[in-house]
Amino acid sequence: MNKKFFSIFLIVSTLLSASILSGIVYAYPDTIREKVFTTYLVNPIGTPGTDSYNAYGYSGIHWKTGAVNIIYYIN
Amino acid sequence: MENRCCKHNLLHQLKGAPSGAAAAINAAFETWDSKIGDDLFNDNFKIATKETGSKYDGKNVVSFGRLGSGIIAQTTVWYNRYTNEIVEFGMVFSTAYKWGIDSDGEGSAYTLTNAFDVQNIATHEAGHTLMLDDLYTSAASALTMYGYGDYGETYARTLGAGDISGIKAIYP
Repeated sequence: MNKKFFSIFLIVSTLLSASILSGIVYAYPDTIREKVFTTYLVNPIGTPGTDSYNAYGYSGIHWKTGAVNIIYYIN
Repeated sequence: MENRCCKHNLLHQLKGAPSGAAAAINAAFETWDSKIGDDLFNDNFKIATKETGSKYDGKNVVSFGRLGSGIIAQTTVWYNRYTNEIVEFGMVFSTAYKWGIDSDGEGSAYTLTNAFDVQNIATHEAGHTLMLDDLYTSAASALTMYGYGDYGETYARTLGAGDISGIKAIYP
């Protein structure tokens, strides 16, 4: 009896996992956007001037601070 | 002991990168980290052999590879459009140019001839991973986030007042 119950449970949970996973895979590309920053080679314009200008953020996009510890790979 | 040996060897196998590049890149990220309250970037970065910084693959990758003409480096940030949270970055340094390490960090000493200082450009690119944008006015040419780079420069290794104001605005 237990064996039969376990088999049914296994089949149902597998099907459920598969349907959830396919939903995530389908939704993921539409959730993610990319922003490309390009740095060019150009001779500096004269003598470096004041550094009082502010850099600015891009539309409030940010890392989730306090929770994310970014591991990066160098190739 | 074995790990130290192997990691050391891998540092010298980075394609297109000069010896010491990994340490220079790590120092660049730490420059920004020191201005953010939270320790964002992991000091224990990993050395990869096959990953590239130009594709969305679930890893934050810094690599040396091919880029378009006149492009020194390129950073891509992927983010969730609903939550505005960044999920990944990729960074590529162009192998069309020579790269080096300015040993004393004083660009005026011209330690590097016809080569870019890795830490200098990496500090600028690391600013992009935090979503700081390029600045193109001549008045901003002393800032790390100035959008152009040149051979032998090292001034971008040190953040200017504007860079710090920018990062504080995003991560107060």
